[in-house]
Amino acid sequence: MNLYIDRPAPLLTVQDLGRPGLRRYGVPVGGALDNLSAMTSNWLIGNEDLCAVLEFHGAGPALHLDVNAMIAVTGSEIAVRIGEVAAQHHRPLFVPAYSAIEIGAMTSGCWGYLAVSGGIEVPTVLGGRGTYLSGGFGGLEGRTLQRGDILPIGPNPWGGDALNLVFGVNASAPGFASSWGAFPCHPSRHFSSPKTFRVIEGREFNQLDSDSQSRFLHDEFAISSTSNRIGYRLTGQPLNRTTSKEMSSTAMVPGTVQLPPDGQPIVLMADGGTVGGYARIAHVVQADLAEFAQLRPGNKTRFRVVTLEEARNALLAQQRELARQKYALRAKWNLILAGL
Amino acid sequence: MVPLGEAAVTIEFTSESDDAILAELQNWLLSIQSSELRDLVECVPGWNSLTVHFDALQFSVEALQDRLMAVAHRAVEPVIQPARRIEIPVVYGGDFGPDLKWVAEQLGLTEENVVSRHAGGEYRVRLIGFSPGFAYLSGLPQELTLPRRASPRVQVPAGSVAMAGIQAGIYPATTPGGWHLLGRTPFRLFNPTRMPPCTLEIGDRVTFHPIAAADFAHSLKGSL
Repeated sequence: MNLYIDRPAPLLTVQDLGRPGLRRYGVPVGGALDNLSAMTSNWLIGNEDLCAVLEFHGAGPALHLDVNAMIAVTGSEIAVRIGEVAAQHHRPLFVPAYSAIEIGAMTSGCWGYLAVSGGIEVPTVLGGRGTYLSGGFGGLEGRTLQRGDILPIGPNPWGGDALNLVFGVNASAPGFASSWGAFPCHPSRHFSSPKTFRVIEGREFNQLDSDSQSRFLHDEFAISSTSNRIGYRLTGQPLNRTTSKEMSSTAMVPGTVQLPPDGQPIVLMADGGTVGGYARIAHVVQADLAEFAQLRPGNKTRFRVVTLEEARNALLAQQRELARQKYALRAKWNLILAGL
Repeated sequence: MVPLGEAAVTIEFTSESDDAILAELQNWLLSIQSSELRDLVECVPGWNSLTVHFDALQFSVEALQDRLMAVAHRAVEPVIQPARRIEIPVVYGGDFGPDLKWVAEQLGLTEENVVSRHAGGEYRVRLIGFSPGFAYLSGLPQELTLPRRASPRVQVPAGSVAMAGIQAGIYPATTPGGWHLLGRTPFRLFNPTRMPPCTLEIGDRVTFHPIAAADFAHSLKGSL
């Protein structure tokens, strides 16, 4: 059972929720940049959290499968076609074998996800299926996907008959969407610009001169076009440190706003280095990172400082909402399957 | 002990010498590994720090700091394990070490001089990071100190033996890099199909020895 790439997409890779526990070997956790959208895409079609999905930037791929299956596309407003039929994002979609699946351009946000029933089953490397591009391992051969690539997919937990019953169509009908769907629980529903993100003050925040400190908390920064899975470069008036002393290498975390010598901050993302030597101005709170990742080049961002307690409370609240959504979708599927 | 975001705490060491810092680091690692925190946190050493990563859903920074303080105060029987000694073969200069000539010029030394001082050093692995398997080494002879390159190279070949500031290192894979390249080793530092995937460990004693370019392909002793 396979998935075939007919037309690739920018930064198209296989991702999952990352491989934690290997930072001391210099291996970042990685994982889908918008983990909330990735998880929702899996839950919509009854997959487990850990199933690997396709991740793409700005616009999606064209592909087909050699078996009847379900897919779900999340990330933002994005056009989906199955054969001749326009289909919906954020809904489970039935796809007959060999139908052409066309994912279009995203109109807001920049990372899209496509989950397929059974998950993408490339070999695991160091316990994960995600692609670590700078390390050249994971996913398919540690690289972005190209035309002609073939990815194994897992067995659909329900047989062909079950799919037919679930969607009320026979195997030769065009793609069909269920009447229900779900959106991921980002802190706000819409990806818009400019937007303010919550940060925790970093260890070296006080090394900024007072003008720079004030500007960091009030100015708008634009996301540069050189941004990628390793880090998002912010452009704006340069920030200045009061010292030019180089720092000793120390651990870093995704969301860290680093200040290189040129004064243009870099926000470390999922594939960012596990250690680094740049000053740490601030850290985007974990609860806001998935939505931060959806900022497109050119979008504007601002920062607002919160306490550690507020950051943790936001994460706990998000976790509760995630659990609610996960179990609601699971209950939905259990009901459907019980009716078969 | 300072927070690093809401899901990590960095313990900053006050010791100054390499041996003292490594001892402080290893005491912490041993204490944490012998405690109930063992399966709840991940420890990532820095050059003179130790960062403890945890699940922010499980602990607040404050609660984790309290646990770390409690763990630190428990007496632990130190297991004295002699550090491993690893010898790394290096082809110095020429195409294998494109910066050797420039480094020698900057320091007012001959290339042979730079090589014998670099190879004469006794190094210790202090941390692994920057890229998978990249080991930062202390012990670079003081007279070889030079600031890193003004502009990094887009591609540093895998196995490149490098230095910058007071640090020495080896690039495990081809990546961008800003350090000065003195030579190259066939020794493999990182293999994602093995667990653990890194050849070098914190605390290892590392020495370099020059080999001829003709021997590059045959010197794979000890690599993964």
